[in-house]
Amino acid sequence: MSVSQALLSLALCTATLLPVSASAAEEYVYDAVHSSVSFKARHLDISWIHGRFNEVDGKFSIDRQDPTKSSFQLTIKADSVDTANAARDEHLRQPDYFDTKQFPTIEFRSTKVRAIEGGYEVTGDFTMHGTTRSITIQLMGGRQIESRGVRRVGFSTELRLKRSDYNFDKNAIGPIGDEAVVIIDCEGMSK
Amino acid sequence: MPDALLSLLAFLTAAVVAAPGAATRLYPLLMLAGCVCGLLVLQILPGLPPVSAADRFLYLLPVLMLADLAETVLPTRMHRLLRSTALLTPVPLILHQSVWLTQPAAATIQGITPTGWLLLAGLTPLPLTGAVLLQRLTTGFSRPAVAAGLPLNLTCCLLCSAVVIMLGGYLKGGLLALPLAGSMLPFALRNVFAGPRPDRPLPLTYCWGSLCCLLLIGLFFGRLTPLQCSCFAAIPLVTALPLPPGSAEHCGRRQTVIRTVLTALLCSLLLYQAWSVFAVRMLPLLAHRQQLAEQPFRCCPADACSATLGQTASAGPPCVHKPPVPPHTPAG
Repeated sequence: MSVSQALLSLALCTATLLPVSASAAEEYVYDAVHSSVSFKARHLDISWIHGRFNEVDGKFSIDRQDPTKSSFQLTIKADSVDTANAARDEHLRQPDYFDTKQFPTIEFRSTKVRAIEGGYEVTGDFTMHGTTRSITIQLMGGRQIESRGVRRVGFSTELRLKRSDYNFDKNAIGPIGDEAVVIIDCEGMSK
Repeated sequence: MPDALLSLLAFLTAAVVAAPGAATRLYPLLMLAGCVCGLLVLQILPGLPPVSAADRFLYLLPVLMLADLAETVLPTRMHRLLRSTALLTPVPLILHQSVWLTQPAAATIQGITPTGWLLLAGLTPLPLTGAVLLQRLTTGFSRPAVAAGLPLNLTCCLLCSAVVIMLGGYLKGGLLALPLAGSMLPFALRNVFAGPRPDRPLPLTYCWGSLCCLLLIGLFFGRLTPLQCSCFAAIPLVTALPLPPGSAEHCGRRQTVIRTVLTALLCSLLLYQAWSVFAVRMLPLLAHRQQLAEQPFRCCPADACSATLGQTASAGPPCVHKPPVPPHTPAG
């Protein structure tokens, strides 16, 4: 191998490796043990009903150097709705509400991320009840720590959704407020 | 629970609109018009695109009716083909893109899981098989008594299955059937009291197909059990079976009454069973309400049961705390 060939090989190798080293994206998976996706909705406009989803999965990739390259994904199993009342949960799973046999998951996929003070502003497609809408959420947090050899990062957000925007049965909206507040506190573990 | 008055109004609207049709050749069209009017009263409109099973069912209704209307226009063979196609449609259409046919992480063949294909293979022919059997039982053996009572039996099954679906917690699913049953009622009553007319046969594809769709929706998306579903589907078939020789075989009217009473009895049993399950499922909530009523601090007489299920509570006076009355002690 001539010197020029050796140099060319070296240059090619460097070129191939450079993007990998330049991309400082950290990959995380949703830690179900230390995270929660809960919600609350007005009941008869006098109080709040609280509930949560027990089965959530997700992954996020955070690029500290170029936050626009970060991405967030969250998949909630609608069947895992839990409002501490079995009869009500059963009702919520039926087509009058979540219709979990037709729409088994509630999903969020980020399409645009930008850094803001104290976190990220994430725009993405939110799919619920068969309807997809673009929403923007403010993910606050993002501090990273290392615990027992596992890198962890945490985020919190709160978003307000109108069920009527997601094709829910309008006759079932009446007593329970149209607007629901979804509270997401999630922790990610490095892969 | 759904608004009882509105439900009744939808049922009656459908019946009133369809009623003139019972005496004319336009009865299938008026039946469909009655159903549509009833649905409008309930403010139930099919979504576009039809993403839910109920939406798809609503779009299927005119197709089922069209298959019946085509009988007078198309040659027998063509009509049979159209009717068969219409009755093979409900199962794949109702289950379309649901968890019964697709799973995000599962291996699929043409987008449907192997279990889904098995389900489709097993269930798809059932509505058509049922329709063929009913057709044979009503016209094949020339049994006017069966033909006279069948529309009423189908209406009764449709109505009762709707109530059972609502008791299971799927309110809209049950409500869908009220205008359907209402639109079938005038034709059914006319058939019973004036007898069936050969030139105005029962729109079997529409009536039987609607019942099948409703049962499928209740079974796969509501809380209708397989047993309840099978019973509601079997009742019209069972009550159309020939009676033992000699038992009122020659008295058409009495036979119709026997078949109708039998249908009502079986439907009542299913309703009672569904009501029992409803009571058991709701027991903790009902007990909670009773506890509240027994407490000295009587507060907010709202219907705890329906309020917990997200329904409108009865309007009552604002919360008033009543302190417990101390036991009476004689002075001194």
